[in-house]
Amino acid sequence: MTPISKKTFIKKVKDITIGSTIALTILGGSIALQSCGSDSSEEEEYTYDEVYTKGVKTYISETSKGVFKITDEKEVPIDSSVAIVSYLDGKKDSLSPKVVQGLIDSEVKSNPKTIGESSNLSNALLFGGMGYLLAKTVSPNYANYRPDVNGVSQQTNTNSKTDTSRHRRRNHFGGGMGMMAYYASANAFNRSNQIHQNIGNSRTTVARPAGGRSGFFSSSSRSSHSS
Amino acid sequence: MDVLTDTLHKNMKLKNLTISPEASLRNIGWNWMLGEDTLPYITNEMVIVSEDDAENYFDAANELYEMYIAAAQHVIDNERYTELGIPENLIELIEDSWENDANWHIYGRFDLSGGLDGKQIKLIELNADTATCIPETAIVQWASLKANGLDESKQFNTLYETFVEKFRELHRQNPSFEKTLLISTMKDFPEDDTNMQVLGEAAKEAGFEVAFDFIENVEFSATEGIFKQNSSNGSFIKYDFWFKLIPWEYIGWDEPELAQILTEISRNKKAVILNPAYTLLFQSKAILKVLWELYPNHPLLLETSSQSILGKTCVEKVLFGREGANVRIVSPSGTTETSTEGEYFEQNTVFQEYTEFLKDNAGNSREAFRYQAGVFFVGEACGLGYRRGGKILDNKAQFCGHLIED
Repeated sequence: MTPISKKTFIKKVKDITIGSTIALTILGGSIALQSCGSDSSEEEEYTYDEVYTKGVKTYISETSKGVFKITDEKEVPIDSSVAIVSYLDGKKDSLSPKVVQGLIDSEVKSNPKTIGESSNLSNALLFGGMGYLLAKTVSPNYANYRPDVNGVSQQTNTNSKTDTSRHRRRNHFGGGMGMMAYYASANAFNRSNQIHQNIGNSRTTVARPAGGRSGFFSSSSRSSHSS
Repeated sequence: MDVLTDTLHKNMKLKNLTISPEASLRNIGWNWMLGEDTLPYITNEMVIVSEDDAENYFDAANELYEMYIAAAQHVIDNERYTELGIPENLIELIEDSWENDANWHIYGRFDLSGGLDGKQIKLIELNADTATCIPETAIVQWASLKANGLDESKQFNTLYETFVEKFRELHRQNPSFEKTLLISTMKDFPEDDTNMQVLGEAAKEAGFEVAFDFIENVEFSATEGIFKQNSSNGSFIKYDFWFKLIPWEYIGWDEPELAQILTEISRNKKAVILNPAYTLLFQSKAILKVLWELYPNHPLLLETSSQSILGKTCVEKVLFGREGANVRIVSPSGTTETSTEGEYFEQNTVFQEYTEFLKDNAGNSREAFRYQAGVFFVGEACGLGYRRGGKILDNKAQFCGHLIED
C-alpha cells in the first residue's frame, strides 16, 4: 500500500469519490460523482493459468502495401489458437500466440504513439481476437488499448465514473476510427465481437470439478457471525 | 488547566442532522439499517471530531496493527494455538497463509474506547476476520453529510477508495491468479450481504470480475479450486479469489471437511482465500493477553489476563465472542456486575481491564449513550465510525457517523 502523507486520510467530503451504483442510488442520482483516476496500466508479469477453454483462429490479409485487415475469425479450442496471415505477394504465415505476443509487444515498445492508428500487422493482431485472448490470459496490459476486454463496450458513450480509463485510452482506441477499421467488413467485425465474448465467458469447467463438494453450512444454527 | 475549559472539554459534541438518512436507505433497499421498533439503527446525530482526534485514531490503529503482527508472529513461533482457542484443523492453513501472504488481509476494524475529550485511546479488540459496518462507515455517513449540505465539512473516511486500491494491489502481488472474485456469506443475513455488496463494488472498480453466492452453494475441489455453478447451464465457473464473510472458527468447528479442502486448495495454489486464515489469530481475544505480555503498560492497551485482575474492574470475554455476546463485567472483588447471554458460553475466556466508553451529554432529553470508535484498517487506517449503546455494546447498538470540525 502506498504510504500516504499526513492528514490525507481526512478529506473534504466533496472530494469523496464513490464510483458505484450504490452511491448513485443512495443519493437518488442527484449528485454528480467525480471520476476516480486510476492507474493500473503498469506492466505485470503474468503466468498463464488454464482457466479459459476457448480460443480463436484469426485470418488476416494484406489488402494493400503494409495495410492489414481481419477477414474472418473462428472459435477454436484454446490450444488451437493461431493467426493466419496472407501477404500481397501470395505468401502465408501461421503465427502462434507466443509469436503474436512478441510482435505486439515490440510494436507497443517502438511505436507507442501510433497504437490504434497504424494499419500494420501488429495493430491488426492487437485489435483482433488474438489481442483479446492475450489480454485475457498472458498480457493483461493490452486491455489498456482494448477496454472491451474488461467488458467496456466501445460503442457506449456514458458519463459514468468508470469512464476515466476510457478517456485516457481514447487516443489508442482505434484513433477515433474505431476497432472496426481493422476488419474487412462490418459483418466480420460483428461476428468477431461475439467470438471474443465467447472466449471471455469460457472460463468454466463443463462438468462438476473433480472431488467437488458443496452444501457447507446449509443447516447452520449460527445466529450471528459477523462483528 | 482552567476548570471551566476542562468541564467543557469533557462533553462530547454531537451535531443534529435535519435530513435523516432514512429516505436514502429506503431508496437503496437497505431496510435492515432502518432498525427495529422505534430506535433507528443509523442515528440523526453525528459525533464531532477534531482533526487532531482523527489523526490520533489514525496513528493508534496503524501502531496497533504493527503490534498485532508481532503478537501473531510470537504465537506462531511458540505454537500457542491452544491458548488462543484455535481449532487444530486450521493450524496448517494459518501457518501457510502467514508464510505466503501477498497482501491478503483485505480489511479489519479496530474497536477503540476513548479518543475524544482528551481521553486516551484504548484497544478493545480487532475484528480482523469478518468485520461489518462497511456500508455505514464508507457510504451512509458520507451520504448523510452530502444530504445535509455539509460539503465543506470533513470526514476521516477513505474506506471505499482504499478498498479499491487494496484490490489493485492484491492482484499486483498475486499476478498468477486471475482477477476473478467470488464473495460468500451465509444465507438469510441481509446485513452481511450489504457489507459484501460494497466490498464487491470496490473490487469491480479495481478490475475484478465479481460474483456472489451463499456458501452453501459454492463448490469446493481440493485439486481444482473454488467454483460457482452457472444456473443457466449447470456448468461451474472458477474463481481465483474467494472472500468469505464466515468466521474461520465456524469452519474449523462446524465444517471440518471444508477446513481440509481449503487447506489443500491453498497448498495447491488453486485460489486465494480471504480474509486469510491467520486473521483468526488476531480475532481470538486471547491475543489481547499476548499483546499485554509483549507490550506491558503500553498506553493503547488494557491489561488482559487469563484470570480476573485483582483490585480492578474487568470484563470477562469469550475468545471468539461477537457483538457483545457472553460478556461479563466483574467487580474488583470478583462478583458479577453485568452480563450478557449468547451462544458462545462453552469457550475459554480472558479478562480485560474495564474502561469507560465515551459518554454524550444529552441533558434531560434522554439517557446518555456510550460510544465506541470503529477504525477500519485496509493496509492503513482509513475510516472512522461510532457504535453507541449501553455499558456493553451489543447487536442492538446504533451506528453514529462523524464529522471533523475544529
